[in-house]
Amino acid sequence: MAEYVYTALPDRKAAIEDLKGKIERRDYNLGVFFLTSGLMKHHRDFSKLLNCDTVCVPVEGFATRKGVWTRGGLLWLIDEEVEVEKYSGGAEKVLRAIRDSKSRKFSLIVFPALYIGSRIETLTAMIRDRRSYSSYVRGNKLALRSMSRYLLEKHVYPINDVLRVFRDRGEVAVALNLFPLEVAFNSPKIALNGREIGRGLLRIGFRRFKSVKYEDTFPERGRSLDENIEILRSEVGLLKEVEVEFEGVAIGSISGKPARYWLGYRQNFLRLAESGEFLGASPQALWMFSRETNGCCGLGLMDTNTNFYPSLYNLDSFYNRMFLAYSETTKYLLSTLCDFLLNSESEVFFIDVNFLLIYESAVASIADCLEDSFAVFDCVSLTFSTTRRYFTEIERGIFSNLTRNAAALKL
Amino acid sequence: MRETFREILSPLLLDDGVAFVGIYRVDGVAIFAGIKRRGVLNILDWLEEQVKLLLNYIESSTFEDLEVKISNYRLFLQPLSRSLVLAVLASETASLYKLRIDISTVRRRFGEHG
Repeated sequence: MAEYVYTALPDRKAAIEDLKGKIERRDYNLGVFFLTSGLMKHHRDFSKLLNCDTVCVPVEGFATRKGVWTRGGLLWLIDEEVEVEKYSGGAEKVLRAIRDSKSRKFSLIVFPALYIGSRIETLTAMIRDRRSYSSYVRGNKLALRSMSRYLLEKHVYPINDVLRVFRDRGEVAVALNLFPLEVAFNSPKIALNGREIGRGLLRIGFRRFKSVKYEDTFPERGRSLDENIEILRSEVGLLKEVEVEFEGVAIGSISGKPARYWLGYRQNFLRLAESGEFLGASPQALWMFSRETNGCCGLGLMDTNTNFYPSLYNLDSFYNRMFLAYSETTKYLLSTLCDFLLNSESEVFFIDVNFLLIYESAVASIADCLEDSFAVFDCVSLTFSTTRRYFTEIERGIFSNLTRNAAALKL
Repeated sequence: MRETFREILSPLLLDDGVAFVGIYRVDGVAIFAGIKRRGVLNILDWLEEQVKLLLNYIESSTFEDLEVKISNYRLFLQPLSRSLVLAVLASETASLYKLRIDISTVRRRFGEHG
């Protein structure tokens, strides 16, 4: 049974006092604080509550048997043998370091799929985008490759590239791909022992675990690409087929136009990111199919004020033929999620943050499906082995979706 | 009882985006009021006059619950039982979807306390 305490109080002082009163001892092996947005900036004060290593992770909400909260924080107290490792820098450097690291049976990895740097860094990226894009539209395809390299160095850890390293070593890993709903400069923040790690990846390695389970709320994957397109059509409704030009993690054009051309709205990224009000979610998504498995995942489209659009996946293993969909239908999803929570016999659940946005107050009912376990809301991807043909298996053994999936862990 | 109300409502009471949290009887009498901003007193005055009518609609199941925009605020009225209604007044800048989720959880907690 997972040991945890939580507070629903949004005020720093009250939340710390509340948790202090609930923690029975301070000498665990590791404490993982899942803090909602308002409290994350006080991570240092929270980390002082324990006499052991602490990790602070921003989440959009959490759920226990008592209810679902989008304020306060939950502290997961771990007595298992764990090791926390920090990797920072560009994507290539981080992936190389993980490849050279010690193998673990199970890893919980926490990283920003897209990191928004400082205001200056963001402005630099935008200027670079304008310059490269004008070269790209004049026919210089190398500009797209160069932008992908830049994004990998400064902003993106591609989810499938990170998980592939673990899969290739036969490890099981669950990735929390932090993507805050309220995007601000220098975010998302992750902290280790009271210190922010900046753009980096944290790996919590466990020597043993009992099981990892997954639910993507889609029917099983078909045998052919056309069959899977039909499944997607029945799940998300109207699809617009588009031809996408990309290289690595940079999307150059969608049917000949920049990604933001297809958005039905405009947002001022710089102004909204300044106040932390840029909404990191969108009803418009680009659905893509993998060449390797014909599996499918979605990428939300937002007005980042750039012409090139950053992908959270390395797209080289995807078809150029993709689909734009405006919104998702919501049939069955909550009951499927509840069945998963009830039948997984697990201790910790990681649930996609879109469930909060799709269901709002109705999501409170999932508390009835949690016994002694808890759940946190974030973006989740994972690598493990299974015989089930998941619709969202985007590479062999790699599962990601970024819209409506969940993972369960039993230690 | 006030302490129980205060404890259950504290996640909302301590939120900067929430200006007022109250519990009304269906006859319109407030039995708990947590006022956090003086600026909302005129809205509460108005609310006192209107709440009886609004609560009648909820009580007669015409409305399951109610969410209206008043000035720069959003008012949530949600039944806690056959005789009690929760009122939450939040500033427009508060994250409304988060508020809806947390109000649902607060309602569940009242249910647990009978």
